[in-house]
Order: sequence, then structure tokens, then C-alpha cells
Amino acid sequence: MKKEDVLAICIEAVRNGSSTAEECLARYPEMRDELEPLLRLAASLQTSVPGPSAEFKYRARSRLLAEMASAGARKRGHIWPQRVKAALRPSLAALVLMALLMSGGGGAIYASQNSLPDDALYPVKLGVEQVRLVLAAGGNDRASLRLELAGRRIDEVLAQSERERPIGGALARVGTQLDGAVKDAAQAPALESRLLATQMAVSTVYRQVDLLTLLESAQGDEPAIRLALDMLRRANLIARTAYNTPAFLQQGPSVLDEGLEAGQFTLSGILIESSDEGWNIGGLRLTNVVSPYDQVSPGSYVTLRALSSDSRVYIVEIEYSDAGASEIRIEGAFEGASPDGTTWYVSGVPVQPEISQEAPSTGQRLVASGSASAGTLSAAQVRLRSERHGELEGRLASVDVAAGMIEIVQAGARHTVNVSQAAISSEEARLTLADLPLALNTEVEAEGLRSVDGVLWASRLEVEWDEDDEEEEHSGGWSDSDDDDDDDD
Amino acid sequence: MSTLQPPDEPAIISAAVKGDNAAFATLYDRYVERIYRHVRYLVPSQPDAEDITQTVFVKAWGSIGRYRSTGAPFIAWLNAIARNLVADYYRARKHIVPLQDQDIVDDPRSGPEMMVEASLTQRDLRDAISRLKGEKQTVLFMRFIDGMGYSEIAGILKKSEGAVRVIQFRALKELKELLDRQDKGR
Repeated sequence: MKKEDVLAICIEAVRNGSSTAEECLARYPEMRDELEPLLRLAASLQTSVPGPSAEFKYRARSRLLAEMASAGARKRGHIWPQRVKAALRPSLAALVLMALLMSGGGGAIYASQNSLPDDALYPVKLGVEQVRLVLAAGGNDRASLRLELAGRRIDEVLAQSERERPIGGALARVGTQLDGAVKDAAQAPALESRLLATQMAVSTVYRQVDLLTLLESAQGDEPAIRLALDMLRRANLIARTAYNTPAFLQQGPSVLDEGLEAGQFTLSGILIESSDEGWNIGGLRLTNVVSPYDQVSPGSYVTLRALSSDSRVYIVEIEYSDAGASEIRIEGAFEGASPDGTTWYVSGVPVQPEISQEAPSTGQRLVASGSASAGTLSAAQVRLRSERHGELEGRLASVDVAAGMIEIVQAGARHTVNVSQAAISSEEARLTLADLPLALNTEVEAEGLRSVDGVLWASRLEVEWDEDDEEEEHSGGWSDSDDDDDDDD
Repeated sequence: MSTLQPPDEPAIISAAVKGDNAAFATLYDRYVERIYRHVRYLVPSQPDAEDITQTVFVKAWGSIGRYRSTGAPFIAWLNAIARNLVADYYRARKHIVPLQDQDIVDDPRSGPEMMVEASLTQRDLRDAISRLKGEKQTVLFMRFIDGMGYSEIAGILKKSEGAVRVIQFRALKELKELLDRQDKGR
């Protein structure tokens, strides 16, 4: 193979985390001396410009959606009479609102808008919201309003927490509004439901961040917060699935469905075929696939994120890469084993573990990798994946101070972790985010990990830190110090 | 950062051209990171890079109805909008120091320059890249700053993917030699 092709393969392998520079170059020892410095330089180039912060991406997307919405409202001027008709629909709620306004209750309505659950005017605030929901024209407007109201409940909780009041009540309504939004979105036209899915996917991520922050200081309210977090996470999953595959909404998913997330799986491998009969990835067959992609070129290395629900597989996302390992990798939920225990089922895919081991409990997340034989992932290495409150030890590979993100390499795999809310410390001192670049390439330990929209959030980061040896310890390096422990929540 | 054009891309672009806002939002999701990095390399401050990136997508959305595929990847069109906005930015701020003379991160202790080997500063890197000729500079920029795949670069430069890999190899080799010379000259 030509050296320029080997260089290209190794650049891509390092970039997508399938191997380290050393591992890749070890396969081409005759070119190693010439290519290693070039590969190092390529890595420097790739990281020479920081990416945008998550906060900026959210802000820019919001502005874009606002532009779209205001332009849409201008274009939709002609449907105003229809909306007026809907608004004039006789309803008890509207009559109540009118009566309140006419009897001088307008001031109470206005004053109620900033009220909190324990305030006397709070029922008025909820009543006005009910009226707005009744007056909302169509599933689209109603779903959008419900998302706004779910967010408003969380804002109320944050305000209550600041005033050191108990916070339970308002959170109970978050799930109701989110579930209503999902059902209303299913009534909206496909195009509108995709916009709603975008809105829901973004808002549920940021609302999870609000509650994760709150969880750190909560005293006695943890169960209510965790319940609301579960609902937000499921709403996010529904939104991401519906964004690419709006047909999913017609199945009637619910944020109250505790089994929803167990259907999530990720499958990586060479795409051999995709047709109405099914998809073949590296020899494994998926049937009843609902995909937004009419045609997917075979031969690509793909990472498929999907949701298995009601005997169908809904594609959430497909990622392509120039090159990838020939092995197949699946991450999913353990669903059971064959009577003889030799075959396990991971999100519907049959897996034969390389070595005999005790079956985990149903629903436990697993990662299995190996090759396909007769439609089964055989001789597979299987390991458990801790789901939500794990730890991650590894080498600190990069730091984006502006975004509050770091990358930790563990056993050759890269993990992006948001540490903007984390307590960062070492044995010697309490540190700030701005100190982290000086700890590059040292061992770190992220604790209290939670997954939010595919990004891990840590509540604590322990760093090896010795100020006396700063130059020697933190001046950078190339080789990975891999860790035997391979638990990668 | 996916490096191949997903197979659904033409359908999404076509829907966006016809006024499908959700389709345009998909394009935003796919390209915001790469456009930001493109702009961030060209302007010295993070807030300015964010403003310009945001404006790129608002402008692109405003004129997507006039977009016609020329065979080049969609990101090339977004990059063209970005470059025009960057040119406007420099025209409006004649006192701004050219980007080649600035480090991307002001705080010397923070940011990705710490990932570069100890002797290699961002400024060294930028100086060296700016001294590469024609296609070599273009390929490195497209590959490592814009995050384009070989097929995308090949489509824009109208070359085979193999030829792009050869240019990449030669460009990195020359860049290494330039940096080594800079190092010895100190």
C-alpha cells in the first residue's frame, strides 16, 4: 500500500477513535518512521481550532428557528381568519377568561404570571395556561405551547430552590406537558412535526442540564428530580427519533413508558445491503426497519443509532466514516438467553459470547464486538456498560475551556465529557476549568457521570496534579497510556 | 464530524430549497460545527466568529431558494457565504491585526495549543501553513479545519480521491520541513 494511503487511513483511524496512532502505525512498521511525525502534525492541525460551544450552537439554532417562525407567521397571514375562528370557538375556558377580564380580574391574571406553586395566585396562572391550550389552533401550536409550559414548570422549580422552598409539586406536571406535546406533535403535519422535534430535542437537553445542576444541591427532592429527568430523557429520545423518522410518532410513544429507552441500540459495521426486506450490517440482519433514507450506499462503514419499539426498528441517526474496523460492534440491552445459555439476545441481535459467562439481568446494557457468522455475532467479547452513574478513568486527551468539554481516552476509545458543572480537584488543590490544559496527558477520573443526548456530564473530576513538576508532567506526549479497565459509560 | 456526504443529503437539500424549514434545520445541525471552525480560523475573536457563523446560516436560509447544485458539496456554498462575511468583517475593521499574526486562544494556558507538541505554537503552525503553495494549503485547510472528507475535497478540486491523498501527504511533509526550519532558526 502507498504511504499516502496509509497516512490517510491512520489519520482517519485516530480521528474516529478506532485506534491510536501507535496501534495504526504498528501495522505498517516499514513506514512508521516517516509517517509518525506527519500523523502527529495532522493531529495538531485537527485540534488547532476549537469547535463551537454547546451553548453557542443552541443560541444560533434558536435564532435560526426564530427567524423561520417569524417569516412563517408573515407568510401565513392569510390563515388568520381561520385562527380567529378557532379562537372564537365557544368554550368554557374562554368564557371563564373573558369573565375574569371583564370583572377586573385582568390584574390578577397579570400578577399571577410570576407566581410559584405555593402562592395564592398560582391556580390562576394554571387556569390561564389551560385557556391558552384550549385556544391553541392545531396540534402544532398546542405541542409548542406544551413544551413552553414544561419549561416554565422547571423555571418555577429553579426559582423555588433559590428561595429554599420544597420543589416537588411543579415537577410532577413536567411529564404531563411533555407527554401531551408528543401526542399533539403526532397530529401536526410531517413538516411541522419535524420542527417541533427539533425544538423538543434542544429544549429537553438544556432542561436536563438545569435539573442535573439542581440535583447537586437538592435535599430530599432527589426522587422528584430524577423522575422528571427520566421524562426529559425519554422526550429527547422520542424527539431525536421523530426528527428523522416522523412515522415513529404515529406509534404513540410516551415519556411515561419506562421501557422506551431499553430499545435503544447502536450497531457499527460495514453496510452490506439495505432494502425493504431488511438491512444487513456486516452479516447481521435487521428486519422491519423504518428509515428516513430511501437509499443507503452499500460498502460504507456505518454507525447506526436506532430504537427498537413495537417490533420495528426506527433509525435515529446514521454516521458514515471513510474507514473503520472490520469487526461489528453492538451496544444495547440484554433481552434474554437461549435455553442452553450459549446465545444471548442484545436488542434483538443474537450474540454468542466468546467465553461462557453468567447472563446479566434483563435490561442491562451490554457492549459486544466480534464478527458475524450465520446471522449471529459470534466469538463476541461482551462487557457490561454501566448506565448512568458511572466513573471513567483515563488519559486527559483534550480540553475545550470555552465549551467546558474534555476528552478522556480509555483503552484507546475517546469519550467526550462535559465538566463545566463539575467540581475539579486534585490531592493538592481545588482547580478551575482553566487549569485543565496544564493537566493534558495525565490520568484523570470523572465521577458521577450521566449521559445527556450522547454527551457525558460529570459532577466531579479528579486530576493528577503536581505543581512542582508542571513542565515535566504536563508538557504533552504522544503515546497512549491505556487502561485495562474498559468500562465506558 | 462525518466525512462522507450522507446519501440522504441531496433529498434534504432539495427539500430545503423548496422551503422545508425542518430540512434546513437538518443542514444547520450537520454543518454548524464545520462552518464555525472555518470562520474561527479566519477571525481572531471567539464572539466575532460566533456572530459570523450565526449570520452565515441566517443568510443561507434566506437565500436557499436560489441555491442550485453545481456538483460541489453543499458545504462549499456555505463556506463561500462565510468567506464573504469574513471579508466584510475585515473591511469594517481595518485596524484588526491580520489573522496570521494572532493566536486563536488569548489565554496562553488554555485551549488546544496545549495539544500541539511543546515547541509548536499555533502561530508557528499558521505561519507555516500560510507559506504552503496553492493546492497544498487548500487541501490541509479543507481536510483539517473544515473537516471535509477526501471525496468532498476531490469534488471541489475536481481531482481523484487518490490525488487528494497524495497532495495531503506532500503538504504535511512540506509543513513539517517548514516547522523544523523555523525551530532551527530560533
